[in-house]
Amino acid sequence: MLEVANLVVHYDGAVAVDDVTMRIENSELVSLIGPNGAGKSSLIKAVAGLVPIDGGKVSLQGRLAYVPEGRQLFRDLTVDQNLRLGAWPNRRQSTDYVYDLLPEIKKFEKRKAGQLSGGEQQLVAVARGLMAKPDLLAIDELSLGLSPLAAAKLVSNLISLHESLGIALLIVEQSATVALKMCQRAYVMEAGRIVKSGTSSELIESGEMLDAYLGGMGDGQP
Amino acid sequence: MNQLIGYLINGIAVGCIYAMLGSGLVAIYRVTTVVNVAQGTFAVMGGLIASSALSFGLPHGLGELVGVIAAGILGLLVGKIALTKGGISPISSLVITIGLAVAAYALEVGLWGSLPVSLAGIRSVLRFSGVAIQDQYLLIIAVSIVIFIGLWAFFSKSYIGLALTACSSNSYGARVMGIDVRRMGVIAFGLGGVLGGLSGILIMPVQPLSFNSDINLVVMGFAAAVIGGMTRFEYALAGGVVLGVVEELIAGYWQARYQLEVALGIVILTMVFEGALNARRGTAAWR
Repeated sequence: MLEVANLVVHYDGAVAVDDVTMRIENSELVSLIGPNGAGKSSLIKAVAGLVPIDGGKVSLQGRLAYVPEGRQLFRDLTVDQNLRLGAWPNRRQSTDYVYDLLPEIKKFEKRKAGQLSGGEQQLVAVARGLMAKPDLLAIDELSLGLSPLAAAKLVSNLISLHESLGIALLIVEQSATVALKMCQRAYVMEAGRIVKSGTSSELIESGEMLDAYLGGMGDGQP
Repeated sequence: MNQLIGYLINGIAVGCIYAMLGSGLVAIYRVTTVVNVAQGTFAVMGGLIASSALSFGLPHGLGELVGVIAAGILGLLVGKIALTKGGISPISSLVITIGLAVAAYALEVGLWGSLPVSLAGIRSVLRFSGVAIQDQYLLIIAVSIVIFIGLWAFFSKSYIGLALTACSSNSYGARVMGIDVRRMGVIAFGLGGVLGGLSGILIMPVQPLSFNSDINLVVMGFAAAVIGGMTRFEYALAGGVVLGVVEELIAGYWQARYQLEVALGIVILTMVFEGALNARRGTAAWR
């Protein structure tokens, strides 16, 4: 579904993504983990077409929706209005589609997005991404700023969506615990490069790698 | 008392014109953060084109519509030029709008001359309890009510309106959604053109416009928009009405020639007040 080959991205002359190759199959759950500044967000933005590519190739079969870091909701608009814009430019797409998938959002459909809690905002951001009916949903910093409880609820929602819709998920996460427990496979990034990849169980067993790059598994996340 | 009622109604009507001009500035500023100095030009060009359309024999209503549409198209063109594809700073875009406003003088003088041009409008006068109100002023107020309700509906209900609000709320978020923020900026300029053109054709029957009337109009519109914080249409409406009423009262009881000074004085007072408020909140721009 998604194939990234020898991707290079520069930010203000510095290399943010350095010769990265990765792939995601249909309906796969994959995470991208690594410390702050590893280049995860730059990579996912390049895949989403939000930053220019300086080398390599991104091939995507199907539709991609990107949930950016910090949610980036339209605070002055209601939840329902935010969701409608998720289908841009398809104005006929009804928001009932995501209310059926995530019924808890319906409770605050009329509220301004800026008035919601962090967990609610992240759920709305995911729902807004789903409005595009994507084949691949890429979520940047899934659990950032969320309480462990809110993060656990969101993960459970995403796994349900993945199972019911069969969409592929690419999760960018700093928390190794959240990412590896949720996803089937993971890529580990450091200094713009992929330094390790494998199934989540392989990476969990690689205690040395987790200590070196991710601060171990005991980070208090669900 | 009768005189005061007359001044108030006239002031509200003139204020509605300033509010419409201000709302054009707000529509553009919210999406692009560009202050469009050519906003007054849209009003002048809309009015002048409508006057030509009427003199060519088009019936009333259609002739004015031609002027408004032409001003909208002019707005789109100014937007296309001011928001160049490569992306430039809002200050550079502002300078471009100044250049285009000045360049429009040559066209206006060449086609319509330098003398003020008027439109017929509604000549009748409404009289009640010793008060005489020109019906054109009442038309201005009625059209403004429709326009501001329309603006509210457009920005809160229509898909394009939501996208424009999204761009002003979070332009990066809008880009992530696939919304072309520059294109939305050009559309905002088009809307600014329509609002400018409307204000031009509505004010022309009571205040004839010439090529250089744009300065006065843009300053008044800017004053209304600044009082409204440059972000909200309803505040721009309130700002415009306050400005129009104050101006009419000063003209009625003192000197008409001070209207520009009054507008600038209100702008300065608003900014000083806003600065003091920001300092108290700890959000001052200068520290």
